[in-house]
Amino acid sequence: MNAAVYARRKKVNALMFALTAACAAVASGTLLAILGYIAWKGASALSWSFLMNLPRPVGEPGGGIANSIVGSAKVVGLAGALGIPVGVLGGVYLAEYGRGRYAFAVRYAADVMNGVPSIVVGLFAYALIVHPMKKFSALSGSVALAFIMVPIVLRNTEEFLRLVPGTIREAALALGVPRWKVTLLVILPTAGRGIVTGALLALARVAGETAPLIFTAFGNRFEGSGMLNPIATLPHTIYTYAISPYEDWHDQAWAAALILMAFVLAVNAATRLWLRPRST
Amino acid sequence: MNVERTGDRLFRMAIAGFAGVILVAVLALAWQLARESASTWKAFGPSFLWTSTWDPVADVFGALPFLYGTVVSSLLALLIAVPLGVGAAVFLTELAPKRVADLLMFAIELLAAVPSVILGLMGIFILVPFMRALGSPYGVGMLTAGLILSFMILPYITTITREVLLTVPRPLKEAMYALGATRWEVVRGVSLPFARSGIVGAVFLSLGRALGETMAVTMVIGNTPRISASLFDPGYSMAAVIANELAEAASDAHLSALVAIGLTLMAVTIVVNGAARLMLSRLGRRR
Amino acid sequence: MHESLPGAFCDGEILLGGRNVLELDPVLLRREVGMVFQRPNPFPTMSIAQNVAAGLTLNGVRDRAVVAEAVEKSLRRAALWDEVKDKLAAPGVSLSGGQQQRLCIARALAVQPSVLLLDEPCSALDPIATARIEELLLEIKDQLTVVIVTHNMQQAARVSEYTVFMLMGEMVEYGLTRQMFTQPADKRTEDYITGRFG
Repeated sequence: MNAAVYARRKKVNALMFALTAACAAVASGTLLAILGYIAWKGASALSWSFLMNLPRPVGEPGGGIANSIVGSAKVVGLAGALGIPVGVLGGVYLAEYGRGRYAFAVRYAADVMNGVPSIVVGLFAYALIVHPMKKFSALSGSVALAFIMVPIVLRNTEEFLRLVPGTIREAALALGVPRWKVTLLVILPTAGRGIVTGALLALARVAGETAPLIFTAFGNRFEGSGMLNPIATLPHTIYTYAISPYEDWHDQAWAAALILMAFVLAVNAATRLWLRPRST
Repeated sequence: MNVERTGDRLFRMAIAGFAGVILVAVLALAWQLARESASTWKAFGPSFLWTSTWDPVADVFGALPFLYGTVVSSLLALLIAVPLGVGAAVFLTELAPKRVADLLMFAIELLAAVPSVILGLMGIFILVPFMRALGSPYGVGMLTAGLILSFMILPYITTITREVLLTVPRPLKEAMYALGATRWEVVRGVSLPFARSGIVGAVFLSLGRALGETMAVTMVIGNTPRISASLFDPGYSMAAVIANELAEAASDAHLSALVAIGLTLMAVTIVVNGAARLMLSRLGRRR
Repeated sequence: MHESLPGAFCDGEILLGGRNVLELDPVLLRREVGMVFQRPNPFPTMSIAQNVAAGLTLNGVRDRAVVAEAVEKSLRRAALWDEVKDKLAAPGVSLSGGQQQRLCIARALAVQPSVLLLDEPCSALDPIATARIEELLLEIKDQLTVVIVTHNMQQAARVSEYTVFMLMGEMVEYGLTRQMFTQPADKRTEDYITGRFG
């Protein structure tokens, strides 16, 4: 073999791998950069009163985002209460009886819904609830987020139920237990860890959604009462503060981003670690 | 034979009902959007999609600037993210020690979980001043939006490409090594061609995400309904105009035009996602 | 059970207590007939005690004392009680393969079936665990009908009183075990037990 050619090939090899290593560094370094920057910018504006107070007028110190935190919890909580049962039970159907044309259509619809931009889902909730009621509301925001959650939870539940060995089902049926009890009391708990994880990840995902809330939950400078009034949410507050011209709102946006980020990443990291050791 | 007990039948029907919710939702979604945008399609016809006057005061609407902004910013994002993502995936599969690869993948997967409003926030306060320093007149604009989007889709491309690369059969690679090939030559000659349809699938999937992304784009694209040759100039996207104008839409015609844009956006993403699933399922069959 | 497998079918009739089982409600039938499968399959989310009690609790028995008594009795009948009585709350999957299989037998016995069906119950086990199970089967066969499917002729000869020889889904021969192994009536049976095919 020609030594010069071989040396050139070795050089190309080293060069290409150096380049791919740089790509990997950029891809994984981005997260660190974002985390670090938010921690740095956010921590300075973060304080106890920031978490507990309502927003104050621009320029007046001591304003907080308590209403946004409570609002996010309410909107996301209701979205979970609506979306998770539908997703899990629908997933049970797909895993246990999902052979026919109907199940195919459901799966297809879930894939379509999963790909629909969240702003379009928001548009749907707007047309469905806000427009007829002539009022922005927490409820409409929850419905939008629930529609985003259902396909995620549905496909995840189906996937984990399919991992339950058929022998478990046979063993339970052999005891003379009706099928619906077998499904709900034996098979579902066996896949429980994966299903709970999926639901948590879906919650974390919609907790960061902003687009569908802009014209549904709308935002509110005060405590939004009940589910039928406009309500502030964390991501939406970050958005409005970020595009505002006021310096102190920018600082608050960073602090709010730190809180949102901490929540979302904590759920993601925890579920990943929880699933890793021995997935059932 | 095949007696299904009453309890079991009720149960099956009940959960079939829950599964049906999503089916009904998708149909209702399409129907609602079509109904609410009907007056726009009636008034402007398909030319709604290729005229570029957007004047809510005069009730004249054309969606071209938004289509243009959405497509161009998404393509820019792909242009940046695809080489980066594929490169990172190659490194993480073929070269990096497993522990390092796992750790970096963990960071990349978490990046996918970062809410887009936070990427937008980073965009406004870091990327925009940076672009201005580079000579962009406003800082905000098409290229800025493309950059932010590329960070958003980078994890998807990396993760899927890596998964596909991991399925390349060892014997194929070993055959090439046995011929005296270098590692890179094996990657280029065996792994990447084998993974091609998976990578294309990942690209389409990311394109679907990028086209529909709202927050990160709205915050940095400049929100100006204008078609401009320079990538430094501000533009607008379909998702952004809905986000900005819907809550304040004064006339029914304006509202209807925004919903028409939403319907168009939905149609485009369904096609793109369908293509992605097609590519990925073809891969699954070959395996 | 065959109904849950696509492509399976059956004909003929099987009488249990004078009734054709194919016409019975499958759920009620399964309470009458306990089943043990090829591989041990304890419920992974349940403890040892919960596994044994599963057939009762899932069918709505709430009384703790009744359940506890049934658990002990079934475990004793399955010759597992002495090994697990101190760790009833441990997960069922923490036991060894042979113990798990006896746990599954205990689980089947707990619903007090009149027939116990075992499908190759020892094929996933080592010889010592197999011997324990066979011993156990010999003990409980006074109390209920035991039907065991096996491809192991020595096992069939060891544990059974009557033997049915099935070939490709067809019943070839049925008779007293001793008779079938010494003077088979059918040529195919003879070929099989003498090792000419199989």
